Amino acid sequence: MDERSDEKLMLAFQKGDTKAFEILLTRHERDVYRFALRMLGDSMQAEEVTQETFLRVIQSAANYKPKAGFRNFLYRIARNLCIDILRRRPREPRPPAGDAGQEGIPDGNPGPENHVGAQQLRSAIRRALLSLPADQREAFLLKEVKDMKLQDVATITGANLNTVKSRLRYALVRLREHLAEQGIGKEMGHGM
Amino acid sequence: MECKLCEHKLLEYLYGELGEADASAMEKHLEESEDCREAAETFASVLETVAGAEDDEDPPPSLHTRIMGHAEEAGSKRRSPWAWVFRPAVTTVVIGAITAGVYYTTIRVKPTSYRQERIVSEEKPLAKSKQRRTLSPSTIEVDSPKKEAKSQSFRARPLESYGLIEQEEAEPEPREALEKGTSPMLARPDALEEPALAGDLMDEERVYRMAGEKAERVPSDVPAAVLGKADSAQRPERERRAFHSAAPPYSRHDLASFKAPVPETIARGLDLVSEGQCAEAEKRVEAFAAEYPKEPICGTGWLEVARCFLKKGDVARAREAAQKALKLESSAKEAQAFLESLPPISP
Repeated sequence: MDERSDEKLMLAFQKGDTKAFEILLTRHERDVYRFALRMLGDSMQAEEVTQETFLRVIQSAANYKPKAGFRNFLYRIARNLCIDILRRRPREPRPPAGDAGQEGIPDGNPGPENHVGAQQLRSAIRRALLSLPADQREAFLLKEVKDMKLQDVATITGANLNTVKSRLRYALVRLREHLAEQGIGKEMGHGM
Repeated sequence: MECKLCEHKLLEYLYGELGEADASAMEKHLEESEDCREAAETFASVLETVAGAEDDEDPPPSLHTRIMGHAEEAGSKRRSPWAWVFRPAVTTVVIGAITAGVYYTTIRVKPTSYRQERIVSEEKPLAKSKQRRTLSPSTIEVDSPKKEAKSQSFRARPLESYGLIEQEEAEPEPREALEKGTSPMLARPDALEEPALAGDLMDEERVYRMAGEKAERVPSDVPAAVLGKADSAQRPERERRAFHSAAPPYSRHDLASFKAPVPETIARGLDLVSEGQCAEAEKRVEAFAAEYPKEPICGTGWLEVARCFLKKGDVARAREAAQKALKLESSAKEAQAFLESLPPISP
């Protein structure tokens, strides 16, 4: 595994080293794809966003300055592409939280013995994430990216740090409510 | 959330972004405040649940291949020594240059008919004279970067490249000599012994027009032969000298406005003759003649050069140029009439 930093790899790619770019792609492709998938809830669009993100990295390689952190640069592109897609989508009435996508989720009273399967849990979380407003969702998902700091999220989204924290708090509260309604995480407290 | 400390620091604490001291203070606070502790536990639980159910969906392998295809294409362009060719600025300049070239060679002049005219007979090698003097493009004075650039484009095609002018002597014409009228060019206007070459770069219409204007504006002391009148007698040497010595000193403006020998040059040269600026006119006519290709196929061009030399009073060179036009089918008739109208060469 190449130990060079993203910025050094990008500079190497700037000089025509495609191997360096391949390392960058391998390093970030999966995370960008998952970020886009959770932002959009659509694997085709997530694939498009991932491809377009890296194509834009390729196109802008000549103008890349190492002082701009590569990962922030990368996720800013991905985030903007996701926001563009979300803006183009027709507005759909948000389903009532109580009956949103209950298929596959055990109903009613899931006791400790009635655990949902891992796949069902992932579906429930994905739905819960998609129920968040876009600004809260992007803040939450960006913070979920490995080693992403709150300040990085603020930089990528163009918001100030306190706004990001506020969005994250609201996102966590909503997620807790949404998951609890689906019988997940009953043990989560309600003290917020 | 009412607790200000938790409002500002709880998320950093949960995400592990607080410093050691701040983290200890937060832990102490959470031990003391039940509400804050409950909130922290709830947040931590949500984060744990979401992190534990991380999507395991990977992007399709074809995505990686597609992106790498683009990267390799871009990388190869970046490595290529010709990569600069694809830069927009360079491309724009190249396209502009090509467009200008096409304009000058195909639209501005009438090339289609000219190019079809080919010289059937071979031209004799042109005589060379060691005593010949000509003005090199390097003598052209420029006084601004823009004009320098124009001059550079002219220098890019030195007269020597046409095989007409010897390379040994291309010394600059001293400006002082020209100004004082002592230049060899002024003293020996017929020193330009090289037969002019005609080509297909002539802006005929303009030359005809300018020549017509000149015929009306020329000073009365200019001999009829200079005007190319059919009935004019041979111009005496005395008159010719008087004509050239009457030329006023050229101004710096004239030199600065000198351009590469494009088709307008000949017309401009004629215009200068009408103003009596013979030295400058000679330079321009000569430069124009030198710009013609080695194997001119344009009879009209030859005729124009012949008329120019006649207007300068150089009947010998005018005759020689007209004889070349005579060999070309398109201009034979006109050349014949021109030759018949020429005055005899003075002994």
